[in-house]
Amino acid sequence: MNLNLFYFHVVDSLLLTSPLLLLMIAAIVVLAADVMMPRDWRGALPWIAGIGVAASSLALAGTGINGIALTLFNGALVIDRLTFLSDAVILGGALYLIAISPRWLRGRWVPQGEYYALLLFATMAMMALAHSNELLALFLNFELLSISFYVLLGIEKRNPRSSEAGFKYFIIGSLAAAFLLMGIVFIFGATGGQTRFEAIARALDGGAVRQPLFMAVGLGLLFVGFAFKITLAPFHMYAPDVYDGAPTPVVAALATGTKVAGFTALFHVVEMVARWKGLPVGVWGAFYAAAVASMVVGNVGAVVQPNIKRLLAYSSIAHSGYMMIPLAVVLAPRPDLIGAARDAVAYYLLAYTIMTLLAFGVISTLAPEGEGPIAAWAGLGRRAPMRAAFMALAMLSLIGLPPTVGFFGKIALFGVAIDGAHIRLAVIGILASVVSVSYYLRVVIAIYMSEPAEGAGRVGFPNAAQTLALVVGAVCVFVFAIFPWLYSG
Amino acid sequence: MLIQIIYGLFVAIALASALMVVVARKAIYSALFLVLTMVTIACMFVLMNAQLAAALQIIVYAGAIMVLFLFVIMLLNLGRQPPLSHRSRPVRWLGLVFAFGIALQMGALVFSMKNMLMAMPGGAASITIEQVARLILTDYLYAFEMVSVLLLIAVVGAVVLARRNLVQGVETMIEKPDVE
Amino acid sequence: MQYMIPGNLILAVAIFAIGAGGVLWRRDAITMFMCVELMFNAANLGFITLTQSLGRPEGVAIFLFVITIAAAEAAVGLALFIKIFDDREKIDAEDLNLLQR
Repeated sequence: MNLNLFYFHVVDSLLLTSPLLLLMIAAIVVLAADVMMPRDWRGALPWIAGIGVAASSLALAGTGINGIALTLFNGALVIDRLTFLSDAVILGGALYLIAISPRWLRGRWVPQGEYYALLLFATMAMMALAHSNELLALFLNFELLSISFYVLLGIEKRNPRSSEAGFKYFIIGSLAAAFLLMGIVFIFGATGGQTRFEAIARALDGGAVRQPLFMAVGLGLLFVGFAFKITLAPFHMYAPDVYDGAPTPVVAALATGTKVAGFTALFHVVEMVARWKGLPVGVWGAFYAAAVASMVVGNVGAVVQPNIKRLLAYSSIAHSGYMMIPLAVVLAPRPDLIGAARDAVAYYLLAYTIMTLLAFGVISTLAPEGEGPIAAWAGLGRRAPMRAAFMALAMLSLIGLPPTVGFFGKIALFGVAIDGAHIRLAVIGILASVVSVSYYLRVVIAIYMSEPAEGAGRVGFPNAAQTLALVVGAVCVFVFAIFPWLYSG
Repeated sequence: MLIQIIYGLFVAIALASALMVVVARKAIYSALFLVLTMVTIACMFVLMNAQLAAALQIIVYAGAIMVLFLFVIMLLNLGRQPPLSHRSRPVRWLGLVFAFGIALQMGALVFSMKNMLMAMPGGAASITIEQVARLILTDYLYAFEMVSVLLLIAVVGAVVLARRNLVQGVETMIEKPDVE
Repeated sequence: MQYMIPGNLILAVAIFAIGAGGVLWRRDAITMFMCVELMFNAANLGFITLTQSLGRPEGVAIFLFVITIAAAEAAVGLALFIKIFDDREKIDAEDLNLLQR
């Protein structure tokens, strides 16, 4: 290898990964500022973090907008249209969470500097995971994201539920990493020591993989690792407990950013094997079964949940199930549908992020009483009309009613299933959505049609940053529904 | 022939000690059996002619990570471990059956391919540190750089989590709740 | 020498399954995590076996990164574990204070 050329390549790669680097720098600045600034200036920390995310967004707009696929660092990372879109969603979500957090953190035993720094590191890790294009980089980014979240979930001091949520996620996360690693071992062996996705795809196409079962077992184990991360049934058991106990803004990041990153990375894996003629049918079966199981388990599980955060945990399982539909169709095998599947998944990731963040944003402004049982939401329509409307909007969008972003997202997903002649998947998805009406409407009914409990007075006002974030979130629910081209270009 | 006997012995030790990690009653016994498993795996690496990996396995795994485990077990005096989860007995049995199932499946798959695997170049290759170093600084440069970020996150995280807020003086480092 | 390739892979799969079974079987946190470490070790055994048999150095490099990551993960996990105990003690202590008043 010509080292001079290689170092030019590295400099190029560093420039193109500047969104990640800026987030990393911002995180380190936040850590340093936390130590060096006077205590009264702590209020500046979210501003520093926000400026870091904004700078990263500008860098992203500068580097990736043309949508040409490029590989960086000798194939470790890839930049293409899908990663550009998911990066944009992740950064938008991070900005939203930074706006939501300061008020939520008031009165809680959370070390501020580390909180914002780790939030930035987690954002960087999500983007890195979305870009992964090589097995070692995939494993590393996966762990980067996991480790940031172990700390973030357990960061609240004097709250045993927070540390237990963190530890539960830690056991599950390392289990997922072990499965992922074993999958990598098998793929490494089956392809004769290849780790880059392009090289693996080439080995598969060229018939260099003489043992398809070996490869399939590797893919299966890799998929199990992903399934833990993106809460697919039957690897979802931990989600309700973790969502319930952990700090609400962190849970919002876990529910949205992790899934955006995980699905983008999983999509690249699917792209890698989609054109392989010898793909054993079992791999497709695993994807199909996970899609159906998640839709069923998520929606049925949510029906009986009395707690809002647990309800949203099951809802996120169900939505992961919907998003598996295009992946299952592509592996059917219908490699010709890969473009449509990519657009549908990218759009649904955006839609899911907007609605879920809006819901969690409202929950975090109503903390602490709004974080528990749905019964506490009774009569919110009169007590806090604006937030009640936003929550209702989020719920209606999660159901998938027009003209919200959730409706068009579901149309896109089920459209792929119908194009791929998998009517059954589309029908299961629609039936699951019908079931979901019952529990999302339960929240709406609590808000508007039940009497507030005795002694429930007015709830505290959100601060300006939270109000702004919620309004922007609510506007996005409509804007991206009416003008989807704003997103996909 | 001698090598084969030694290899068989190591396989037996590795399997037995791995099982003991799971069934041992006290956490400290599990930890010590885990050390034994790791050392046996390092011996496998030596038999495979992978000395670098063997050395790393002993130093990092059997050394650093296990010391961390033992330290925590001793520090918290884990005679009285609270159960983390409350899974019922049938669920746990189901888990065992599931694990046994995947083991059988995957083991049978590998066994069915034993002729192909035995035909691989095998064992003769001695991978030098130079080759590995070259790879780390070229092909895996990204991983090399990112691992440093990962270590930074781990350091920050470990400090944040394990910082004792009982100790006086440290208390001031943590954000005091604003009482309205 | 050749019999070690399938032999080690089967051993790796067996240890991996013992670890997975252990995570599902045990209920105390620290032993569950030790079982996960078993699974990581099994994967490492697989890597080194394949890398030696293919004669490619990639596996050793990956192994190097994997143990680094595993060490970092263990540090964070054990810190979390300490925090669980700390919080419980704290809560117990506060409960005691409440009772005295």
